[in-house]
Parts: sequence; structure tokens; C-alpha cells
Amino acid sequence: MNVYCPPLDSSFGPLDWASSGVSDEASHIKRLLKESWEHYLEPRLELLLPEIESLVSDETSVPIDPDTIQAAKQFAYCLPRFGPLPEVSTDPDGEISFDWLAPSGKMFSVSVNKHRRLAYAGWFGEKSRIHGIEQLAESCPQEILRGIARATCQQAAR
Amino acid sequence: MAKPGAFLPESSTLETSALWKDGLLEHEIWQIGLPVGEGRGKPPLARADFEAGTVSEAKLRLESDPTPHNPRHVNICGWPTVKDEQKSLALLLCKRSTLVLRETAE
Repeated sequence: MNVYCPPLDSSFGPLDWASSGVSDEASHIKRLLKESWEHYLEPRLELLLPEIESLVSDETSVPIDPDTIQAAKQFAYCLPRFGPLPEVSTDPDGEISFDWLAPSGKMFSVSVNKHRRLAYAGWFGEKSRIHGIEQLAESCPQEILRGIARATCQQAAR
Repeated sequence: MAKPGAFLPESSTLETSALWKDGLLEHEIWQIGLPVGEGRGKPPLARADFEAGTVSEAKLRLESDPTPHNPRHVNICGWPTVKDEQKSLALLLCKRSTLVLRETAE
């Protein structure tokens, strides 16, 4: 039996459904995962996906490549199930930006381009800043998940 | 807080457009911004104010670029070409800036 079971604080995209189990237990766990997806992730995506799609029709922003929209949606699927939702906007170069701007002043921002390249930067304090590049695959890169958690941890604790 | 993307440079020029506002009154600042917003079909709703020293702190530079309508126009230049480095500097500018909403300022 082999069922993927992500930790509670990790991302949980539909591409992570990697079960090859056929037993009753495997089917049970698969059903629980599906219920978890519907309960926790679906309501968040119902908020986030229309925001991404609305960027296309925004005539005041730069044109966005359809592949960038697809990549941004895939990224949205991979985001953590818990915690604050990001603000979504268009960068001057047509990439789509996901921003977590916490009341504490901590910030984490990820830009997605049409090649599914993730450019990220975080500000967690005067001497605690990060930036880097990751590639979006079947799940959200750990550096990105850590950045979101660091920016939003105090927010989530409230 | 302003959005970090507001500070990112135009991809074709690697410059961010800004305004030298020292000595201007509030309504004069918004008056300069109005045509910019109207050109995009939306009036300006907010602006981000920051000290010129912040640009130096980010290892960027200010270049004067006066236009007929806006003799105080400046460009923030010297941006790196790599996106994550641009975003890191945009976060610094964002952190050092103050968001001013138009309705509260006027």
C-alpha cells in the first residue's frame, strides 16, 4: 500500500494524489484526503482563482500570457490549506504576484511566470531577508512554504 | 502598506517612474498624478511616499527625467535584471514607504 499523506502544515495540490493502494484502508485514506481537499482547499480556491482570472480582463494592467495564468492557478492549488490568503496582482512585466503582507510588517512575495518559474523575496526583519528562484513542480517548493509561514506565523496565531 | 509590485521597474526600461514631491502641497501632488491615472482609465487612489535616501540604501539611483507636464518626474534606475533581486529591492522600498490614500489626504 502506498498513500501520500502530506503533513498538516504543507501544501496539498491535486497533483499530489499519488496513491497506488487498492486495499480498503487505502481507499478510506483516499476518501479522507478528498474530503479534506473539499473542506479546506476548495473554499480557498473559490476565492483565489477568480482573482487570478480577473487579472486578464483588467484593461489597466499589462497583457498576461495565458500560460502565466495557468501557472498561477497551479501555484494557487499548491498553496497551504491554512493561514491568510495572498493578495494577487500583476507585475509590470506581466508576471503574476502573490503577496503576503502581514500586519507585523513581515512580507513575502512570489512572482510566477509562464515557464512556472517562481521568483520570491521575503522581509522578516531588518536583518532577516531572503530571495531566490524556484521551479514549480507537482508541489510547492519548501523554500516558498517556509517563506509564507515566516511571514504569516504571527497572523495565524491570532 | 503599498504592494511591492508597485515599485518594480518597467521591464523594457528597467526604470520605475516617480515624482520628487518636496515643497509641494498635498493637492498639488495629486494634481500631478491625475493625468497618469486617467491615462490608465483609473484615477490615482493612493501613493507611496519614501525618502530619497531609501533609493541609495537599495543601491539604486535617481535620475531626473522632467516632462512638459511633470518637471519633477524622476526615474529609479540601476535595477538588477534578475527578478528575485528586483523583488527583494521592491520589498525594501515598500518597507520604507508610507501609503497615502487619496480620500484621507484631501
